[in-house]
Amino acid sequence: MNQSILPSSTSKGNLRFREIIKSNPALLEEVADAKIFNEIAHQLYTLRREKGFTQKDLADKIKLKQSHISRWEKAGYQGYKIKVLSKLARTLGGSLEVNLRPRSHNYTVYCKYEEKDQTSYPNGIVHTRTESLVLPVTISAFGSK
Amino acid sequence: MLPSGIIYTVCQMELEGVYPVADFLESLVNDTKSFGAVVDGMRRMSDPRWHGTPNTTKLKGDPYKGIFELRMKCGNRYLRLPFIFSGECEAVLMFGEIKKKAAPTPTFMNRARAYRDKLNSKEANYEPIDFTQFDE
Repeated sequence: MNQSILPSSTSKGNLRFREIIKSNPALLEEVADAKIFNEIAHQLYTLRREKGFTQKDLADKIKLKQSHISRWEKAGYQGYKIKVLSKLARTLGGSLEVNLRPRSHNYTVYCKYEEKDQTSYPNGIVHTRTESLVLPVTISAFGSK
Repeated sequence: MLPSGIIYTVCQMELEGVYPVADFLESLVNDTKSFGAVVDGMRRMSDPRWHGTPNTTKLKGDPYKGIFELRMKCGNRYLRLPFIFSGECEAVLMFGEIKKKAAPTPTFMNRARAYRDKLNSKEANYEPIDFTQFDE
């Protein structure tokens, strides 16, 4: 067998993943949650580095141990408290923003355009030409599913 | 530990129509927490923004023989996916296993070695994992 890298979008392996996801929609929620917590860890790390603080410096400022900061910057940590995050953000000269918002849904509606063109000829014949075009229109809506 | 800041293309192995990594993820369908941890670990390997070192280690019992391991801890269990490097920064995940202890079993090691040899001898294919399909 010749070894080759197959294209990702249509490959059988990725189609298998799609089937697995379809079988339990809660799986995607778990993946999305992990992504959010990773983002918090990354933002905390970036802000601390931008300020030129070490983990120890930051821990001293908020009167906690360095190991706490290390844990919060680690992947997979999911035990953040909003109050602590707010305190951290303030100490680092930033602010905490939490957005709870309804999920946006995109609906694709197909619109049909028709254009009629009539041509009259001197011999009395009227020729009608109709052109139709189907175009996708994406509408963004906020609210329930 | 592998150095951070390198962009890895995370791939999965395919051997005679069988995808062991997909089979492993399928076995976690009812264990959403573990599923999330595995996908997150795989995605972080290919994320150039991620500041920490990837959760990867040289596999104990096979030092310097080209087998690495992506390891996540979920509760009291270790979710482990051995992988090798192929080409330029392509990490090829071979299969997955759940274990309670950190040390790999002989069965695990033998399977990892067999798959590594299949990949090196080009008897097995590999393909990149598309992580966009895991976005809601």
